[in-house]
Amino acid sequence: MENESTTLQKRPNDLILWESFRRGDRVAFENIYQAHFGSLVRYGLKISQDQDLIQDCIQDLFIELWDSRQQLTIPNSIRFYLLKSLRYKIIRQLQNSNTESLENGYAAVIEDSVEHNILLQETRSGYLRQLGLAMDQLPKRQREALHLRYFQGLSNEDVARLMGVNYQSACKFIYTALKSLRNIMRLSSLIPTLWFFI
Amino acid sequence: MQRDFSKFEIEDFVFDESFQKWASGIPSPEHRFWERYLHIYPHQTDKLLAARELVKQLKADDPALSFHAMRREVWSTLQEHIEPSGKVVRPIFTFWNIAASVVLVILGLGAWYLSSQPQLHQQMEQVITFQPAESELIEEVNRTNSTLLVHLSDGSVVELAKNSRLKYPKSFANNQRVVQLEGEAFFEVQKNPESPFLIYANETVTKVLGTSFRIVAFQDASKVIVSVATGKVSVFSKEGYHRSAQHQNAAGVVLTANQRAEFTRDQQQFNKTLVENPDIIITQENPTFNFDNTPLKLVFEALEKAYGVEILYDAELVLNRSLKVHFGEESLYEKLTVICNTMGMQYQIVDAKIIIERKNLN
Repeated sequence: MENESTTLQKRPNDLILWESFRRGDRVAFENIYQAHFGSLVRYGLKISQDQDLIQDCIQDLFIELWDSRQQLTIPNSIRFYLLKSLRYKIIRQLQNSNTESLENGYAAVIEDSVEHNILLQETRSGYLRQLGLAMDQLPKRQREALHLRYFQGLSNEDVARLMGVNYQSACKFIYTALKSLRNIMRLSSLIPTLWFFI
Repeated sequence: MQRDFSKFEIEDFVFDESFQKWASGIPSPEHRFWERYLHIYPHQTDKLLAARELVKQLKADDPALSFHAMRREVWSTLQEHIEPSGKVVRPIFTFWNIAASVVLVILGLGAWYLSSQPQLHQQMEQVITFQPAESELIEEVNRTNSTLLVHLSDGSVVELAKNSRLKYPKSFANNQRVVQLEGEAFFEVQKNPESPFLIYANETVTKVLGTSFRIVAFQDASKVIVSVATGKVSVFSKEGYHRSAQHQNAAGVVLTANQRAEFTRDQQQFNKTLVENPDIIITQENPTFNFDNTPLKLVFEALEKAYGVEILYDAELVLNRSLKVHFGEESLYEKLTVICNTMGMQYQIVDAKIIIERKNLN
């Protein structure tokens, strides 16, 4: 499944869904949960590889969302709102536990992490495995920006707003990350026609 | 900013938003530029192809990472948190706006009385035979003017509309969950592939493995109408369904998003079409309908994807034709009307598919 949205926009369905949810509609709430859960986990794992922590944060996020539904305003985009809230939660957790530094350069490779195990599975295609490993080598903020811009389909501007940095910094994260990916992966190997000559 | 496209590196391509759109097949004003890029700068072929591949991979979802267990676990915690204690009455109109719903309507003329109907008891007896002997049957009747929430033993929730009646066992059997409905109700069924959920309503049986949907089944009705917003259900005639238990092939219809089936009760026949106002399917994507000189083929593809419908047309009809139009909150049919009027075409709905053809000048 590809995510093809390029910018986050107010869409009628989002508004209707959000309004129903604010009135206490559990079906609407579940729809919001089911529609965004995958995006949230994937994003969370780009910030921290501690899967339990991500799970707790997402759970807290939705519980708080439900409890404070009547006080909530209408976000421009539900997804942007959720991603930003999750980011805030994870970072606060990380700061409290102090086991992982937010600004550190390289993510530690956790041998028994779920993602790592899945990396080893044969179901993953060669390209995807290569890309996953290459992304793991990127500095955290670059990895996060790259994920937001491409996988989550955010614009450079939204990436900046979400990460709380200025536009130029966000662009720099993304551009530098792409450049590093090219070097790490020797991207020419991605060209199917040249595959056999390497 | 003037950029030297002849010296673009892989990261320059990938970073460029219009390139990203082109590489993932999303229409943009620069589409033609990227189409022609390699003719102008053939020495860039390797880099461009690698860049396009990288965009695709960066946007690709890895099916191996689907987090099913975590998704279920978190949701069950949330459900405990939000589950109201006791029965709650809430307005019914909100459901129509929500994607996860299936609507089953039995069109009725005249009033339906809450008096005891001999036919119902007869039907119910049939249903009872599917339940374990120890299971006590409960009958819930909503005589109020608002919706009544009924919690079933498997965690499913039924929102019973006014003047409606639901019969269900106190606890379900292990291999299937059977309820009987008269009137109208919205169902939110817990997923359980091991134990299908069956709703008997007049001469129809609706079978679901887990989704939410609405049933309206009043007695004095000529038709049963089943409409699906998302998810998948099968609808059978009761006769056909019981026959299939022995012969393994039932006469029924399978419905997916935005489709509806009409069951004519006296002829026992199904007719498949689209719902009155197809809704955009809620996915992770945000569909937009801004077309700027977009090839007509891509316009139709965008509509197909957003509404989960099938659009059929002759390939020649769309050849070399493109369209500039920006849609907002128009319905699917309004969008189609605008497109068809602009392009000199007409559409009709046949067998739940949209057929587009050249306008008949007569």
